[in-house]
Amino acid sequence: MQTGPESPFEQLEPPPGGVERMRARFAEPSRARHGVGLAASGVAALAALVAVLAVLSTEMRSRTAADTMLAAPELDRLLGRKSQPIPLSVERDGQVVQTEELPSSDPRIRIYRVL
Amino acid sequence: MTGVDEASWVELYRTLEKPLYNVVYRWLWDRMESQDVVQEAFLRCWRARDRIRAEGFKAFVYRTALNLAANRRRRKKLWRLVSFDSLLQEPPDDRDGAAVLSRRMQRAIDELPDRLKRVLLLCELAGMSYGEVAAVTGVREGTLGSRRSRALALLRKRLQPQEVLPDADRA
Repeated sequence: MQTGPESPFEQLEPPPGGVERMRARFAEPSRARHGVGLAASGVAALAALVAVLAVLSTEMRSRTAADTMLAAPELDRLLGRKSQPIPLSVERDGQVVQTEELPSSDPRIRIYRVL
Repeated sequence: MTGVDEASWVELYRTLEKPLYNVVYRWLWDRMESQDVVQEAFLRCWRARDRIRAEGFKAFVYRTALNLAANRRRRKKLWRLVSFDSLLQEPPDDRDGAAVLSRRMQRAIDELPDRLKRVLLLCELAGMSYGEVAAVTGVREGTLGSRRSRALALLRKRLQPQEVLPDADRA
């Protein structure tokens, strides 16, 4: 096997300043302290995540409330929109009775007849 | 190695840096990264110095460095695969004779199976005895001779001069 400058076993010089860098790395804070730092970062990230979820949850709740409000027949009347049929339940003497929708000339008004 | 101070540890580093660097470099082919791995191995050994016996230190630091190098190499390969770096990067200039030889050398060493490569590099570059190589690799001393011979034969075969085909033959 070759032993000249193109040998696979040529001894190469490492980059200069290795000992100084090694000394500097010894002086760096230990991995244990890094660990504490990492744990603290983890807790902070978790807290941030909880905060974001809380905000999102509030937003979703208010969005649900807004959706309900937009779907309310009262709003249809206020805005002059054609009202949407709603589930209707009518009671007479504590008994549920059937109803029937009748034609209405005003799209904003729905008429029901109790059978 | 309880009781060893930082100054003595740095002296140990000064003694072992070059052979260790040369072995690690044949894994990573990156000078700064190889030196970083050597230093990381020394730092890990420093932290574990209470559990290391002086006679086992050399094996411990080599084993740590080789494992770190193998892990980084794996990560780099994976990253190259995921990021498609090999598709985006220009291949190095092949017209320069030295560069071709150097790349051929790298490829020849890279293509050795890991278990053969470890034995070969530890024997040839770190100048270790079979006893020391056995302590690093965990392979029985009796097996090391044949592994080293097989590695050398493979390397020799891959480094044989290749015939250059004329353009007409290539097509």
